Amino acid sequence: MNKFEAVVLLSPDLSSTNIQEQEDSFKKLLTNSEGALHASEDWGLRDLSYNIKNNKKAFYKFYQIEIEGNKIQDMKKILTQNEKILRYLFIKVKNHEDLPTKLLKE
Amino acid sequence: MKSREDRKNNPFEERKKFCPFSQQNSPKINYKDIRLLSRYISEKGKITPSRITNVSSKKQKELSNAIKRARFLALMSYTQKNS
Repeated sequence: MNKFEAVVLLSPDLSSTNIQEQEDSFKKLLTNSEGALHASEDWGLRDLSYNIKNNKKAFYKFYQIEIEGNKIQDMKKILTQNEKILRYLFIKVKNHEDLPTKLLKE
Repeated sequence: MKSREDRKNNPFEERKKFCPFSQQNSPKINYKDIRLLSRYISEKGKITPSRITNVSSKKQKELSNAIKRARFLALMSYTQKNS
């Protein structure tokens, strides 16, 4: 079981219920690809340093997950089909750092 | 043979160079720590070379990867320093 950090950018015109739906769908996707959620964090609505799909702001979600390496591929496929997600990034890490992350401390 | 004394007050005496990331309590490089990363980019948002910042090559590689990740996630800009 490898450890990954996932950062997901959600489009800003989502209402709070939509965001909750997106979060639940991510967790459901994680469980049915045999992954475990270690911790999650919400960086909230941040303004982007450059426009992505002509959005100026985005909701940032940060997840620490444990999953088989090859299961990540189908997660990526499903995440790319979801047009509410502007951008996502999976990073393999040796061990999870403890929250809150540096970004939230500022 | 230059003796130790007159070499000391020689203006061109090279200052002892050290890598800011390879000391005992030096900060860890992390793509989320944008304040630390933005110290190592130029005004135009480009990564400053290690010959100027005295960063060791291994840490410079980690630093550039972290900066590129932060740029991909729009935490940092590609073209200017503090966005």
